[in-house]
Amino acid sequence: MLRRDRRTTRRLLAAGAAATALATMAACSGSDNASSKGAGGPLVFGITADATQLLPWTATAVQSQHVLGQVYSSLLDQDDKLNPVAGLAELPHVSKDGRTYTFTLKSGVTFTDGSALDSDDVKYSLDRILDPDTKAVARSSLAAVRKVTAPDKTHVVLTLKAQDASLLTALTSVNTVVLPSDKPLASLKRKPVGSGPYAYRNRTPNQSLTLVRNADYFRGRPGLRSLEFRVIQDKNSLASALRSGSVDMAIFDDSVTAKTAKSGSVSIHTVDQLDYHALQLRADSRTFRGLDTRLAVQCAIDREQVVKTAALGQGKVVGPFTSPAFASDPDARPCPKRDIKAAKKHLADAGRPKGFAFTALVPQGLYSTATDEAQNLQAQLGDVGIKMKIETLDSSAYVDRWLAGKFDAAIALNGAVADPAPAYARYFTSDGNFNKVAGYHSAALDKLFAEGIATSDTGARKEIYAKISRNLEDNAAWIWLYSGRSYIATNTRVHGFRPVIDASLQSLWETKLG
Amino acid sequence: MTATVQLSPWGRLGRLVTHPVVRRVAEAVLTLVGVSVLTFVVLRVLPGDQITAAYGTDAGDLTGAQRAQLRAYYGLDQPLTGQYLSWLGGILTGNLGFSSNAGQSVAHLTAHALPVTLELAVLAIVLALALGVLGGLLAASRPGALRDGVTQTASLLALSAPVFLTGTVLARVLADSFGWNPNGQAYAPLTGNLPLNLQQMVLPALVLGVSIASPIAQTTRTAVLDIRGEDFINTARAKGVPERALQVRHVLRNALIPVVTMSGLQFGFLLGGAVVVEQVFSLPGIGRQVLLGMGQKEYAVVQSTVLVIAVLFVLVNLATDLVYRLVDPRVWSR
Repeated sequence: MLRRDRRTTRRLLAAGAAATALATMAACSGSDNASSKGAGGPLVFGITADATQLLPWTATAVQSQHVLGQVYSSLLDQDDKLNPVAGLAELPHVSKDGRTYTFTLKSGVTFTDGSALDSDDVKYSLDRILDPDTKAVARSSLAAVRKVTAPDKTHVVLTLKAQDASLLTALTSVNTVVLPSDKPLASLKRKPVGSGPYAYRNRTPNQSLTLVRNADYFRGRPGLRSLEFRVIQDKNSLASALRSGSVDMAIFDDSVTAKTAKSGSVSIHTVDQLDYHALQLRADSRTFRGLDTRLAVQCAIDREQVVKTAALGQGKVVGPFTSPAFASDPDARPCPKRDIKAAKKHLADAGRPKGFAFTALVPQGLYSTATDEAQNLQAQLGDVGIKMKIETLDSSAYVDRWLAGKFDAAIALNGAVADPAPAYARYFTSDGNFNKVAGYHSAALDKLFAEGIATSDTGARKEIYAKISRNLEDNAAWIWLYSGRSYIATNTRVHGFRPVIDASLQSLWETKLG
Repeated sequence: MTATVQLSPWGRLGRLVTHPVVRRVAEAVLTLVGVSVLTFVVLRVLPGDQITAAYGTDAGDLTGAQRAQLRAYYGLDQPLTGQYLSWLGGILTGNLGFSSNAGQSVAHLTAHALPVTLELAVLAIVLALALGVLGGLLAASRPGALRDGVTQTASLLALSAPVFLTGTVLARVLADSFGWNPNGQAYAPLTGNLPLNLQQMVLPALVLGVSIASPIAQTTRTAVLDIRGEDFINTARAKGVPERALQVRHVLRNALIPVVTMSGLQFGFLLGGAVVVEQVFSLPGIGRQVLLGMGQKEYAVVQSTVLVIAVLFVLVNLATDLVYRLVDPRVWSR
């Protein structure tokens, strides 16, 4: 009995030792971290959500846009200051009346399947974007286009219904890239074929998407042999993966995670965002119909405090327009600094001297600072007797309510692009698609937006948009708060990447691994 | 000589219906129908749909006709009963639906996600049983002594620490201290790259296993102490059964009954409840599949995956019953 027990003990010890050895061997092998990668890659770009939308014309998620921006090319590109520059085509010749744009395509451009990219593909792409059946998100940006013609293989002519100064910016978007005319859209949804620096190789849903170098890229030889977008949904896990070298690059939208990712081998590049955070007041709601009521909210808020508490100081107070060329002056608004006395006076003028209550929609899961912003605003407004109730909704439910205009106020992070026209006309004009969201438009604003889009002179446009900005702020249509920052994390092996405003990945094609 | 009692057809049917096996199967089917209806209803009650999930705020640019086309594409234009019956009909013919975001059938997605979760659950439960039973035995060996206090405190700590916290901290410390972060790499299937797969599973299994070990240890301790006080133990001891044999054959075997029940329940929860750990460690398991489906409002993905989890849960419960009866033959006679 005793002997049997000893034998059993020895067997158990041997099994334990074997298991430990196996675990140790497993732990020490099979790693593909930084040290085992070649100079050509793969560069692993960490993303927190899968790139599910592979048709660029309908892609709205930023992860999909990042991926598709490497696979496809647009007629025009942007420089580091977001000005339109040559892309697949040179900058166009514009007729004197500003209604005819003639583009000359670069020669020798091919899609990654080897077929030539010519004017037929450009005409096909723009026609399909304008076709309502495609449900392209850039259709409204190209609404001024009356006709697209391809007189020969290298020229494309866009004839406009009216002048549109934002057209060139619209043609730099990933939502207006050129697709091959001989491939069905259903096939491109599964397997993209573009003319960008990298070609689509494969995708494992919710895990990774791999691109390989397009050696025939029209700008030159891309820096990496392959580029993998790896899905790591938890941002803390993504930060750990960066520090351990499993991931080479990632973009964060909050400074805390960016700080945790930073190490001796990981650098953080901070860039300004164009997107802006706002407390949107629906000016045609019963609560905010009166101007004094809205101005009371405007004056009761210290925007710097919102930046300090919600964004941990990483942001800057802005007005309606955030693009560098048309930036609004945040000091030109009523109550540029918090003014409790003025807020109380506006409340008294509105016939609500003791304040009032309203509910603000707050999105959950859309961006990281929404709840913190709401709580800070709630506290600040409480000081003048305005009770802000917070209604937190998941992203889809929030978007539904927001689009239907079924709310008094909403905490929002709104997208912006280099040209102010498309981002704002849709909210604040009488025929704008989103005017139900804002609930504020007037004949004066309609006229100004029409002038802004029809004016090609940059100086004159700046004046017009300054007037629009002033109109919106004087009427406290919304309460513009701040624009945040993006944090681009790269490990020390990544070379040649230029961080630019709005965390654009336009230089990723030149990036190499050291 | 005994007379054979002839049962009428109704009597035979009554006996069949009340047979334990038939009753359990009927209960299982009812449970699954309930789960399917509940999941379907809850998803529809929640605001938002796949159109706004896919287009975001750009859904506001869609015209009425475009929205109608999309509603037809996603099957949202059908009445609710039609949607439910259509989905259920698909399930019964083996069609779990299609994920437009993944570009693959739900069956295909599940076939890849399920082995990940099963592997994680098996590793975690093995670890939990090893830690939990040993811890419980250790604590019960001297109730009230230091070892009991230490074991119970450790057990309470493990139970209190949320897995997202322990998982994140553990991964972070190992990544920073040793540069070891296998879960930062692309997931390696069990049959593809075994060493890397084991590395990727070891931390999540450890985190889950430790959290589950706690209730198993508590159950083991209580059961062992209860059994030790039973008359049959005193009788066996009085009959001269050696102490080791007494502890193993009589005490431990009887104490295992509630442990098996507890482990079965925990294993069932692991199949659908490892969402957080799968998320923290980037494991493409079935929990994460449900979570992503919820975020993207992919009804077919959520409904079908939840049903698969429910089927597994029911099967695990049946298996637990079976093991329970093996451990305690008296159950067969009840």
